[in-house]
Amino acid sequence: MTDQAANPEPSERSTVRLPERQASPPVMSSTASTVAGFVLGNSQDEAIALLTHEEGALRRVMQRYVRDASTVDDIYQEVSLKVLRRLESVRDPAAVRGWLFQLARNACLDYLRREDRRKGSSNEALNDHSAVGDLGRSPSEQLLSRERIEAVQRALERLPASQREVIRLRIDEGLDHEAISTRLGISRQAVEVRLCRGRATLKEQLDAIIGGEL
Amino acid sequence: MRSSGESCKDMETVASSAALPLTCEDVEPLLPLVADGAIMASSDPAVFAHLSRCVECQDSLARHDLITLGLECGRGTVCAVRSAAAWHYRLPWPAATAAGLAVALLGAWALQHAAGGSAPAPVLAQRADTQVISVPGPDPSRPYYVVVQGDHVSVIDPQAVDGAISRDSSAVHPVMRRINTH
Repeated sequence: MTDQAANPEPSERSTVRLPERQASPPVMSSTASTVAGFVLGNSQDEAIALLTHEEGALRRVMQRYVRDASTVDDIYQEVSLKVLRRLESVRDPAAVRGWLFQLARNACLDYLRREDRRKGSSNEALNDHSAVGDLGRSPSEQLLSRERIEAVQRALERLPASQREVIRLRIDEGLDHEAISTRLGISRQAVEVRLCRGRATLKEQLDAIIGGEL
Repeated sequence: MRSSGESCKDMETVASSAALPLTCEDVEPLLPLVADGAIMASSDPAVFAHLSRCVECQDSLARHDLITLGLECGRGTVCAVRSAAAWHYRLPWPAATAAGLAVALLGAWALQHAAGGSAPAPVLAQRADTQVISVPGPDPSRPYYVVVQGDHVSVIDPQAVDGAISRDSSAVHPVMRRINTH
């Protein structure tokens, strides 16, 4: 188990790069660039050509998060529409695939959170009914069982208090790193290192539990 | 597998070599911060360029993301995973049930529709998270049922075998159809 004594927090000159959240695609100055053999201009046809070329890779990313094939279809369509609307602002060929990956991953996470909320509300409403069968589990539960989630949460309890506190402020209260820094009276870099180490430890715990499965 | 302490200690080195193509060894220590949302494609394209082509790092990031989802379930908000025990008591929701619930109101709506009424499609059944709405099908005398559950919409053809839920192809964006047939 990592603790603060064994892993002292960084000095002020540490250079962990943590950019601000940005939703805009990466931009480069040239007006037309090539990616995956396609010329990126401003037309919908070019976006469609790119999507056609990258569809397999995008679907494989989505299948890491979502098991149901029809849901993958829906999410792919959602991502495609975003690409069609926003690809014209992408000019850096080296950044396009990474941008597509982020769009696909974010769409999957949004879907999982949305479905968790929806099914959670539904289950509470139906909790007193007697019924037959289990018509469907939360998509998150399909990937990460309740037992595994409980194991992760137990692992959270075993983290050093300093790391656990930062993770809770981030997850439970939704504070950004700067706000956590202010709240705890520590540097932003210290916040980021605590967060990173705590999350990495939780990942090790999950790896130990689920092995090669996902 | 590297320890968490070792991973985080490497971040300084990674930051200083960002101009070079990144390797798995460079990216792995950053994945907790990618999962946190602190590192994004717009400002760290090299990290995401690697992620877009590296299956192993994609797998690792997916696990970090699942941890995030698991931690979010520990909050006070409703979470399906946290209330998993309730799933065994869910009401069944076959399409036939939806159709059965619709019958009583369908006649009145069909009469109004035939008379040229412009009233919106009636809500036939409603639960906390679900609405069933009748809409005209190909055969005007046999409406389809639209089941709205949160953000998910399904179209039910009551004439289909077992009341199977089918996707309404007309709802697919024309651009998507073009892509699918490209």
